Amino acid sequence: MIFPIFSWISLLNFGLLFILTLLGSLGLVPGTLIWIASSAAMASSLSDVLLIIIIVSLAAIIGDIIAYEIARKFSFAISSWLSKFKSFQKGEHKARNMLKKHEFSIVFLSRFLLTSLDVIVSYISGFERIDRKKYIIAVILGEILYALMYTVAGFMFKETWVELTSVIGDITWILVFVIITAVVIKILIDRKRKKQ
Amino acid sequence: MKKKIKSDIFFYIILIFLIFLILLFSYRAYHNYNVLKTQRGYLKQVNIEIQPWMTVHSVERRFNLSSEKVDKELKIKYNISYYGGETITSLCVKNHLNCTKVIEDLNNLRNQ
Repeated sequence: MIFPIFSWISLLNFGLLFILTLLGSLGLVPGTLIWIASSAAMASSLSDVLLIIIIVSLAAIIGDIIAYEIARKFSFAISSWLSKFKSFQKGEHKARNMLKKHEFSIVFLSRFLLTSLDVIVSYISGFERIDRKKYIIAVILGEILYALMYTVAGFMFKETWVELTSVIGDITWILVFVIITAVVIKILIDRKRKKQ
Repeated sequence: MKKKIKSDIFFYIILIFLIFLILLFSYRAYHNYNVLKTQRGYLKQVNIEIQPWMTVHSVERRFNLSSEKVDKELKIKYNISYYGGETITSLCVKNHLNCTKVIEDLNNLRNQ
């Protein structure tokens, strides 16, 4: 074997897993979940699993904080550019209030449940300059849970983890659509009440 | 008034579309769950054979096949995008191989 990335658990593999998870948190590498579950499926002992959990949570937390800080740094420049658009001015205040109201739960849930949204939420959180302390706490708790869930699932399901990640992905999308449907229904009910 | 009715229709269309998506993904999740259940059930059996949905590493480990033999059969080239968790099916598609023949050959290798 010339370059077996995940064929054996080694320092090189752990280093790669760290870099890939970090880049995934920044939105630069897709399919991080596959790498995590795949490496966990190849772990031969519980100590390997524990090490993967630590590496994945650390990399994801660092990546999320970097994404937040980047967006926060450029938030003034981008928002002043966006404020030129009338449609943005209308919705911005409302969106900001909603995000501030539910900032902890949105950031926390997007880490392990709505994983397809985690990168977007990280950048929006920085862009909207939500409370740094709250963001970091939500990220730490959410990412530890994320690493724990998917690493243990990968380790336990071994060969069948490919199907398992498909099921988890589908359930995540169902949850996203259910939430959006609930919002649309609420809007329709409010409009009907106003009419009456 | 006309504008309000129009926007109501717009929201109803979105709602129907969302319900359709929920149903579609629920069906997909149910299908994938059944596949997962079947695979788990198969792995619990005593005499199992190499299957297309198995990953390269699980084949190597479970059936005591050397990685060199499996790599040769599946024409695996090591690069940054390769990881051992890939299934035989996806590698067959990627490397333009006849999957049925590959599975047959791998099972023959196992029995040698």
